[in-house]
Amino acid sequence: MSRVLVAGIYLADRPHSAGHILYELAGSGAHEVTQRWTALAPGGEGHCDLPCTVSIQIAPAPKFALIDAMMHDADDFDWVLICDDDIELPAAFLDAFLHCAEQFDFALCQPARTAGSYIDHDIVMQMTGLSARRTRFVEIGPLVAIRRDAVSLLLPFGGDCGMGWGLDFIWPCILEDAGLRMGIIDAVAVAHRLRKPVTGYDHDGATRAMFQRLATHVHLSRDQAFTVLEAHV
Amino acid sequence: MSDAPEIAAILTTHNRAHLLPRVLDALVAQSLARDRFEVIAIDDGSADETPAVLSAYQDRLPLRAVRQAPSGLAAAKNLGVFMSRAPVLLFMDDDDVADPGLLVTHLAMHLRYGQATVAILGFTDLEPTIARLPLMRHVTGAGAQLFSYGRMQPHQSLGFREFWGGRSSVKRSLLIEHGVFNPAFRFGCEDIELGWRLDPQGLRVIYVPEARSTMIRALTFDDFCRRSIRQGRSQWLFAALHDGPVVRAYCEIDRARGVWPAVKGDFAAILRRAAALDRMMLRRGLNAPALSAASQADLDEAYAQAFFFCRAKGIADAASLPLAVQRPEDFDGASFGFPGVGDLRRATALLA
Repeated sequence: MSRVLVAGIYLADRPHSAGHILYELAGSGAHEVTQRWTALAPGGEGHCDLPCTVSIQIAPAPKFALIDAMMHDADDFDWVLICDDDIELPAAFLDAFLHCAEQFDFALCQPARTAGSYIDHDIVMQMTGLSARRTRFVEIGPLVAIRRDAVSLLLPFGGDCGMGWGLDFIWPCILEDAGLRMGIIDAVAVAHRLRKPVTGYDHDGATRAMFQRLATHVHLSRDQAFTVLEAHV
Repeated sequence: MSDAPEIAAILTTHNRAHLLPRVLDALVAQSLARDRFEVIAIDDGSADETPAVLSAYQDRLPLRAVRQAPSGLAAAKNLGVFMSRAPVLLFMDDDDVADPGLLVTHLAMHLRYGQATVAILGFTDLEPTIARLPLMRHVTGAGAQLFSYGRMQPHQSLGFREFWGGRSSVKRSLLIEHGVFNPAFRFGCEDIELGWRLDPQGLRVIYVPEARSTMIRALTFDDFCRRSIRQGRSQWLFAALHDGPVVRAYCEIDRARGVWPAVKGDFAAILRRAAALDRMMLRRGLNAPALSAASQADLDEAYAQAFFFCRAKGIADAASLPLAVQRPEDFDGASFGFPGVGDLRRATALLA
């Protein structure tokens, strides 16, 4: 039985699906799941009473600094999941998802997104004819799983990480350099349609930070990153 | 110099093991050096000997063959796009045999037209024995339901309507940046729908008849009726996704829905009459003298009417069903009822 740490952030003053996510992940029969959620409640507005709420943030704060704070002991877990609050998971998601991740030896992975989701990068769209793909790209959200051996390579995000944009083009270089594999799991796709992306924060600032980050780190181009290396039925 | 190939032939296939050896032999015989291209074969869940045939060519071609559960043409093409390493992608059908210069001609045209928004449309001829079949002559000639090269000029710059799958090449970067095929299209319209979405980016399709391939599969009347019904369903989907007069006209929506209520009672009889004419033409033999102009026009009219009504049936069928795709903007987030949301006490107990 693997030990799984889930770190998530929910917007307390807006519609979200964190309760559903909490419920589904807690229902794992094959894994020991620890969940930690931070409520973002600007000015103290909203409902912050979800189970597993470990902190309430009433002032603006960088998302990944909050994630880091919830994952101080990430080394104690076999898998770390970083989760947004606006996705829908299929029933028995976690067990099926991690089964595939282990079967295909992915140290970093995420579920594909249903075709009816908001999708920024087409490569993450579910390929219904496959179980999983080994890729050179795993998007920074809405749900990412990091295996124990990749945790020390990818975490902590650091205080300057902001919204994390661009990390997904740096991660493949780090993992490939370490001989680790990454991929997208098509067998258990999630829907991401509750909120349109980039409605909750500063788009221009995140873009500027991304280019600054890419300029200072080895990374793949989009053409290189959006590549499937292996496909598994 | 990079060891990445310069052009990828993306071959999508489904249950065509009997045709694949000729298709693959033609790729073996390409004049382009083998280290300059790659072949990505996507087997869309074939139930025949396709995997074994593809496997037999692993050593003869720079081939990567991948299998997926049956998911349709668009999904198969997308997998090919993402698996390819080359900057230029040529989409190939599994019943087309490439001329030896096909890949080098496409590559040369992309070198000439370096802009990311330029695609190249090649010419596909019919194998001579197939070209003499009355139905095939119609659908590539007067009817133009399969190919409509007759209205094009060599090196003419065309638009999204000519972004034909199975014989067009495109820069990978254009698709990576601006969109891939919509997997909801399992057959038909997946190419033109993508072309429509690429059109605002400035997509231009240059017709290059020197980039030749040959179709080696003959379609029967019944084949083409089935194909036309599926095409109609896809036309409905295309129009539903991109509502507006241009797409609606391209997809024949108003025309089809206008005539279908009146003809659906006679649909079977119309097909029966056209099928009888087709059988009569086949009985005449392929070397029979040409029909008179009037008889040929009658035959073309019978075929055209039958296939249009098949498309109209496909459109009407699809219109009567829920839309085959869900769009996130249509999701009513305010009324969602996720399992577990109303049962936080149980979740709390599970987490305890």
